[in-house]
Amino acid sequence: MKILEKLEGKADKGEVFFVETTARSVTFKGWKIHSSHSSRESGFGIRVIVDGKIGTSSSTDLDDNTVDNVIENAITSAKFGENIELDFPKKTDVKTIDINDEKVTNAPIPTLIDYGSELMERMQKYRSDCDMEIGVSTTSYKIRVANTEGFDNEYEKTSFSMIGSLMRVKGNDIYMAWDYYDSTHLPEKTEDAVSRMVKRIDEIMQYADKIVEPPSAENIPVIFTPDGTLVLLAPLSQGVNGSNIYAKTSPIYDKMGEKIFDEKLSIFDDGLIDRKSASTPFDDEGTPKKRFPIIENGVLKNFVFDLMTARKSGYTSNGCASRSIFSPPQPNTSNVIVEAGDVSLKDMMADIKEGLMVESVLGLGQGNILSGAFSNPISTGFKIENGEIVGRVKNMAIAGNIYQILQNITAISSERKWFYGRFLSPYIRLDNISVVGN
Amino acid sequence: MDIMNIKDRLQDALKKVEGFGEIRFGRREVFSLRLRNGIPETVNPIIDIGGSVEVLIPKHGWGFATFNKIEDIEPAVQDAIDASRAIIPDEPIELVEVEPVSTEVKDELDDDFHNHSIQEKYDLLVGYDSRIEGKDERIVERSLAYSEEFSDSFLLTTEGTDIFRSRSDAVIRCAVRARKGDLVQSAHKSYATRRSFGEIVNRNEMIDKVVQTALGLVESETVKGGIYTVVLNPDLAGVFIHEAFGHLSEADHIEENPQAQEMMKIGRKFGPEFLNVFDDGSVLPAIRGTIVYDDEGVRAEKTYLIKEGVLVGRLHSRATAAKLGEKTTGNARAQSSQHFPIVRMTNTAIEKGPHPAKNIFDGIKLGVYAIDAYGGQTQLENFSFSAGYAYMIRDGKIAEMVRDVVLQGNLFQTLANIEQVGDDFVWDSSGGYCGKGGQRVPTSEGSPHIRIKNVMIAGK
Repeated sequence: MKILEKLEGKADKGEVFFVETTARSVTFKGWKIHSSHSSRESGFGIRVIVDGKIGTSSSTDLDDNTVDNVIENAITSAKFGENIELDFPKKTDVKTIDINDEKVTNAPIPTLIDYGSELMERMQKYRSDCDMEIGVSTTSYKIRVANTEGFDNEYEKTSFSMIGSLMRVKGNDIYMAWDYYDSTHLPEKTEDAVSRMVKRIDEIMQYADKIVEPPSAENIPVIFTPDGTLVLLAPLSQGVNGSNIYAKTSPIYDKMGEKIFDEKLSIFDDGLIDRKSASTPFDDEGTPKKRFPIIENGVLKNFVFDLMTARKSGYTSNGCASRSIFSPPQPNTSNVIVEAGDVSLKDMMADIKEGLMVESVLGLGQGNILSGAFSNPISTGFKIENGEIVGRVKNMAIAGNIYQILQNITAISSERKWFYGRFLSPYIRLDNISVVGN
Repeated sequence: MDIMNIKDRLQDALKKVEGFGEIRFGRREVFSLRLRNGIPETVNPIIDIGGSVEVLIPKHGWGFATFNKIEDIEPAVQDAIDASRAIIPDEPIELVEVEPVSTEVKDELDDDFHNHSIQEKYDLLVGYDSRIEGKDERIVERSLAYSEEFSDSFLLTTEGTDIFRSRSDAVIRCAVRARKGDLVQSAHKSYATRRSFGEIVNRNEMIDKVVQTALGLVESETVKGGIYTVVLNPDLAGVFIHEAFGHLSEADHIEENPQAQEMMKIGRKFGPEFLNVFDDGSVLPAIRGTIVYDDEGVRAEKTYLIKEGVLVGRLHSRATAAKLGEKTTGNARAQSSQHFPIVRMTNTAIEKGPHPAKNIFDGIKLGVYAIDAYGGQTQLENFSFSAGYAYMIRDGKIAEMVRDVVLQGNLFQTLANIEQVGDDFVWDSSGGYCGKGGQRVPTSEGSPHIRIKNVMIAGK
């Protein structure tokens, strides 16, 4: 690579990250098409090590003169950079995974409009009392990572996503229902994607007018739906993030190998699943992606690292570096997979006299979630009575700390669902969390 | 890359558009340097090049596409045409006619930031940091940052407008966190210039003020909640008028919101006759919100929003002006050449008033002097603002410092309750941004000291 050649003699080590993206999107609002946008962007970021210190610079201008400027900038930046030893990955063969669909790349804006129109058509029955929003978007990436240690690989990847949402305002009551479709590929049939989304939206909307009295007791069983498990996964993903391990700000930074959760719980990071949006053959520093346990039978097995945070924490990178053109790498989870349990949702609910099912909350990720604590008003939640959902609840909140409540999990369902394109979760039942109504 | 080299190709690409088309293309060099507790945390020089094309085919919607490679120019124009064609609005989008302009607008620098090395900028921050380090054991965190941005861009339209703009910004920021027991308080200030590196070098007073404020806050008590006569310093008064009133004057907001249309009727009495409020993107020498020409090529001007207490105007893009049948004001702004222009404020201010500022505390038996803004929220006419810090006013004199001062109220009642507008007008010099629709643009706010009666202050 030309940039690496230019670094010779100027830097001890160097790395180049190159990305090219083409994206198209259309949005529908107020029951008609609202706007459409396309973008094409390419650029590169470099990191150098000079006299043991790290420097960074980046550019979207690929002109030869600019490339020379960017190299000089990175070398200057290294004068003031942190002292760090980084072992960039060596030359290696990388796995091939199915994440590129030319049909996505070639889909023009009118095709995106067709998908959106079909979804809107299927949502028409709510037109009289709901506002709606639909977004359809495609992105094609080309990513290349090369370094002075001999690694030089590239891949192409696409993504297709659709979101459909309904909002119903009646007096002071605001009720929302939405669902996502997200894949690296176009759906085989439009109908497949649309039907699945409409089915979920219908499930939520059937309770729009069924507002029931909140549960009378405070200590009642709570079932998190697959989407709802994000309340639990968001604090955990902070807790295992390499940035919080070397800084020792995570409550579990020194708990490696210890049993921290109920043995029913196993969570994997898997960056190699075909057709999933967080899958890539290698991460943004060239470290190969893999499937590895974060939690296995309740035991803390791995943190989530890039090269820098792994080095500073005394571990090795597990392929979780994520960066953009202008911002240097940071650790981030790939696809997050919560292992299925052996109980059906129906059986999980059967013995519940009075309980709650949580689909979504307000203010997810706000507050001091690094400590494991969460405290959120429920935005979409249902009351369970004698093993059945009887209606939705309002003005309730849940609170807890995942490092306490996940030590005792009542049940994990055998059914699982993908959400936000990169999470696969079952239903999780907890009988020890704090539920507050007002 | 010299962006002028591709101007002809962009002009040619625009010829394909049937209807209105605009291309903006620019190159930015941004450098940011941050020290946290004396350790360099960010040393990141970046170069960003790119542009966008907007297309409005008659009777259709806006099509928008961004790009940053020369070979992507023509495909981007095609995408924008396709996107425009795909949308048919209920009411056609019209644009107010403007005269095509061909001109250059450049920031004139007395002492160019470019001529100073990174080492010099680093040493400057280290110097400021050493003024704070070890000064007091209650200081638990120090953060100093320098950032600069140079941008060159041009704007071409199918109507023949051809504007080249060149802008230079430098900002220095200081934040200090202090702790006493369990109480942690922070203070920060920034200073922005488009004129001279010299202004960045001489900010010892600002640094000392931040330290003094943070240490004052950990020793102060929470204000006692209640209804007070309040004096706002110019920075807080400026932020108040921008956030609580200015956003309601943006015509895109009014156009979409029936409640806002009712509230913002031209001719409605808003405040006392000595209250005048304006927005002016043409202020020279350039301050933060000065643009001279907006991102539709419309000349920025001084637009009165409130004159002698009465609502007289609002801020427009070409499309909102056409829709409401009013004249353009030059307020369509985009974050960069790769963002779509929307209606934004520039430099927004309460004009100098008739009341001597030196007497503004006179006759206040018990009140609050609220200084600087730490953010706030507005929802239509209701607002809530946190002051950076404040002092009690007792018997017409500034007394003890208080913290956690949150001003709440209804915009219209509050404007009507303005008792005095001082004669000490000043534009704020901080490195402020205003965020809207996912885009942030630099803005300035100006005001003299103002005095308002019956303000609700939340506290203990």
